[in-house]
Amino acid sequence: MRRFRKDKLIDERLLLAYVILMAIGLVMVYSTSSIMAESRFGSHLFFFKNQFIWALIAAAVMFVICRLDLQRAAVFSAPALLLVLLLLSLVFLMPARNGSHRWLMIGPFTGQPSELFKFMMIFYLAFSLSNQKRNLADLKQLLFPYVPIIGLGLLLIILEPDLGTTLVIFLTALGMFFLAGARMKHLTLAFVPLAAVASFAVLVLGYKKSRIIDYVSSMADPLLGSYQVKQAALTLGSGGIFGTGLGEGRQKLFFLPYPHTDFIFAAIGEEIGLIGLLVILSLLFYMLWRGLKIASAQPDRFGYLLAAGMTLSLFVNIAINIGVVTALIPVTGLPLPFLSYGGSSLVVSSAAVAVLLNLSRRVATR
Amino acid sequence: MKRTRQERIRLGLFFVLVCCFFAVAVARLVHLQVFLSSRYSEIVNKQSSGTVPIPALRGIIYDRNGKIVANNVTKYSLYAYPRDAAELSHVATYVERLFDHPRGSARQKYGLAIKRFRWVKRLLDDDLARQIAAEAPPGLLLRKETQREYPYGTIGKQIIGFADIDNCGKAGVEMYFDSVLSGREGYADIRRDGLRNTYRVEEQALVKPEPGRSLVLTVDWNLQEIVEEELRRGVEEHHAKSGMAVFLDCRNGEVLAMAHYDPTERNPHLPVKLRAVSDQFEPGSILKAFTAVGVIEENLIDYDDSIFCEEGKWKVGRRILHDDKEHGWLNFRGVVELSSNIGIAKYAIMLGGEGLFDVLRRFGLGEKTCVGLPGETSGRLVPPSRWSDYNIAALAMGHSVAVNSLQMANGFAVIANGGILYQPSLILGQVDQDGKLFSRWRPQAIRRTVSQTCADTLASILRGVVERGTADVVNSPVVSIAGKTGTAQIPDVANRRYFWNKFMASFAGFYPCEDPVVAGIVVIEEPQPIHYGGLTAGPVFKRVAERYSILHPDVFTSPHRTLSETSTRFENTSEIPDLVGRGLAQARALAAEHDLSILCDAEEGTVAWQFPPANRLTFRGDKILVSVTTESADDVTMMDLRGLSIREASAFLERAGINFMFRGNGQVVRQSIKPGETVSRGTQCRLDCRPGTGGKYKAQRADKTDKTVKVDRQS
Repeated sequence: MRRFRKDKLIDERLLLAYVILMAIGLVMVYSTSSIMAESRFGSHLFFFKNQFIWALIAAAVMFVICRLDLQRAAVFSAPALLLVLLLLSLVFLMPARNGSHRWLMIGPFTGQPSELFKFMMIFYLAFSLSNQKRNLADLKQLLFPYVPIIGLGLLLIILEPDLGTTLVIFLTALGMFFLAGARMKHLTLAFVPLAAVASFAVLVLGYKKSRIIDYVSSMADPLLGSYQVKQAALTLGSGGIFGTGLGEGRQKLFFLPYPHTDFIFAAIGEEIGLIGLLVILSLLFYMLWRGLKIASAQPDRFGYLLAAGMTLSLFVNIAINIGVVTALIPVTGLPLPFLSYGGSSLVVSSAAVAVLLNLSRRVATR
Repeated sequence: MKRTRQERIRLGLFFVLVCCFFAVAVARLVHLQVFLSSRYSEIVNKQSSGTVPIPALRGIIYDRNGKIVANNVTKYSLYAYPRDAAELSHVATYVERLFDHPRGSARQKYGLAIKRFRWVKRLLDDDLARQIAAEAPPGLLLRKETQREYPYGTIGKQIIGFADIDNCGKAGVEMYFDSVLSGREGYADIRRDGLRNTYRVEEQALVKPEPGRSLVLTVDWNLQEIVEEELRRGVEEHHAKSGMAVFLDCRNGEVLAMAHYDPTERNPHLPVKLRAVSDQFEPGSILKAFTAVGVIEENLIDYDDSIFCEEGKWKVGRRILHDDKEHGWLNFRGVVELSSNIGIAKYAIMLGGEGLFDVLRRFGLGEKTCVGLPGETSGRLVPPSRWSDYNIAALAMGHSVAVNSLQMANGFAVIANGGILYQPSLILGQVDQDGKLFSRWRPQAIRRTVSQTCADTLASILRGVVERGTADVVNSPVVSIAGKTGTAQIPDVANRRYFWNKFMASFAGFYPCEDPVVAGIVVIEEPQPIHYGGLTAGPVFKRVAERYSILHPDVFTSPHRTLSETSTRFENTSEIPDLVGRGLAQARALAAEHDLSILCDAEEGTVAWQFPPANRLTFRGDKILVSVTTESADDVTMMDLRGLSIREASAFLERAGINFMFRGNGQVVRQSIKPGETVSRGTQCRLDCRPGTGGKYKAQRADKTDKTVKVDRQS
């Protein structure tokens, strides 16, 4: 049944958690980036200012998404996904940054189409899998058209190369098939190409071979790991329970790599300690829990899949980032949603929350 | 519920996964932030903080006139710290190109490696440093260091010694007084970042360095230059192996100049020792002066009484003593003046071994003088148990005893000052960094060695040595010198005898003898073919005395005898007219009247400064330095300093306010600021010097000395 009632209120508890996290994120981006910004760009506000602008853009995007009729908008998800694929291939025409082609530069704005691809893919999958004509028990229907479209996207992203986002998209897609009710034996097939690609990349190309070796040794003792693993662990450890105090972190002085983006979780842990991290983890957990709550209460399959997919992608993102920073999984460059510096991640994560907020209006959650 | 059973189960599984992840994450965080926290904090502390030493500024060394003779300059040193392979290869290529090394050799030569600190070249020239700063690739960096600089080149270097590249004294005063000069290193706790930048945070600990204290030496650099020049000339003229000289102020034991000259010395700018205090030798006849003191004190003589000198041969025990000339009957004065071995031996035997030993001890022989230089020797004086008459005779004439030059000079100072043995000193005082006198070292009298009358008697006898005796060549019309010659055979240690043809020629004395100021010794090792002390070392002593007296007429003018009075007898000299305030043309004319010429830094103007100052004596044909720029002017015109001595050149540069740095010694042959160039005060000027091939003094005086020498040889 399709219902869209404007009079129902959005889930303000989710919104509150989101706003708190965003505020913490802005403060921590300033704290971790100001010295680097001063030394590289001559202004301690450089990164903070950018992030603030992105936060405003994210707010606008959220406002728009909250007012959309997502069910109707979802009709355009397939052509939109194709458009994003086009953007993904355009990325390779752009000059490389840090040795990879992840960014699309349009005027003063730079964005990562891979983030957009992740977002549109969830829409598309929710729309397509909720189609009642689709028989998920049939392997053929499962393979086509998802494998070609998603496979092409993943291929383009892995060629950027951006292993982290590839992994997030792959796991999100897989999770959505799982949540939609695909058969377990069919799902295991998905690991065949993954294993093939992974072994090819690791063994033949030597891609991140050292990272994997680092990983094995660094699980037990992070100090034996690579520079990044070691410094991240040291950063967390030196924070202790209460932290060194806001702005007092020493590791952001060019010891910890990417203290304001991929490793912001460690940098936060140094300054506000275990207590602060537990607050942040609680907020993240609460948001995911609200997301699942909204998904579970959805009146239709589309809403269920969309809410669960958005929650899922947030979770995979958070899990991989925190796993990397705490030396639980191998180093993979990925921003932490809501907290890390970076426009695309911020806007797409916020959009995901906006989708959840939108869907929360359809139901009266507790 | 709206959800199917399958959907609910799968959503539930997903939620369990989320919970599991958060549980693991929290556990890991507790592990890292609680259990490993103290260990990790320590590592972070270590990698992000450190202590850097702050070097203390080394004290400056001044001479007694306040000239800076050892200074600190800031230089840049080049070091490599490549962070990665690309930087390493750029650094290596750049260094190879810069220093013309063969390709691919720099890595090994300097041990370049990633993230390793390596000095490439320390203390670069300023021009090179500027060039490197502009074009060096990352990983190659410059660091400021202070370096010791000796503005007067090798002059006095044997006394000052030198400090190594780490500002640690390695010889001479720099070594002996290293603890005073070096001060105390400070340190600061600093914060480091991952890019090897360092930060100082206000509240962090800082211990300020304590700068070293500056020393004022008793040495007069003007005299030092004269001594070194004349010593070199003496050694070269007499084809000698080496020479050494010590001059001190006999009134208080302050060393005025000390030097040795050895043409075979390898690194004259890095002298490891000063042979005037480190080398000991048998003094020979100059020691007879001390023997004579004992004889006079014991009242063994009646001055009219004569002693028979055995016509040149006298058997003592089983040995035979010889005299250089065959003397018959001589009175005591004659024995000393003509340096009769037999005569002094007879007196010494009368005095006895104990008495002789005692008097030599009182002159400080056999003991270190503790003047303040490393490597000082004590000499050797054996107590007189079971001495034969021959031993006494040998000791009386300065054999079987070893001394160093400083001991002998100090002994002659005793005779000169009326009988008091002073502790020779090198340090006039300590000055702190602001130039305030920190402590002044007072002259220390060790003991009264001989009575005033005895010293005066001997002084008059020693004057006789110069007036009529073996040192008549030394008699100077400018200044009255008294002293004693010595011509000692050098012991052949391997064969336990003396070389018959190798001599240590020496002259020790003091001047002016009416009111002695300076006592000194000149020793020439193995002069050839003339080997007499009076003819080899004596003239060196005389020239030093004359030139120094002319430089300081105020010191050496005594009521009994003034320089201007005597100067009429010295044809070569002329009194310097006062040129200051006159026009240049007029000054020229005036100088020409006095047989002098003028060296000026401009074509016209009014004379504002002259060197040497007016009313002093100088040699005819000399140049007078004249400057038309006033002392307050900002820019100065460089004078042509080539051909001038270091003393003259430095006088001009000091007044002009130009920092200078001499290399080598002798006369200026090259100057880094070209003549006529206008420079501002404080500019650095480098001057290369070479020993004069025909110094003006030598040119004028050589004929006279040579003649005397020839006459003597014929007789």
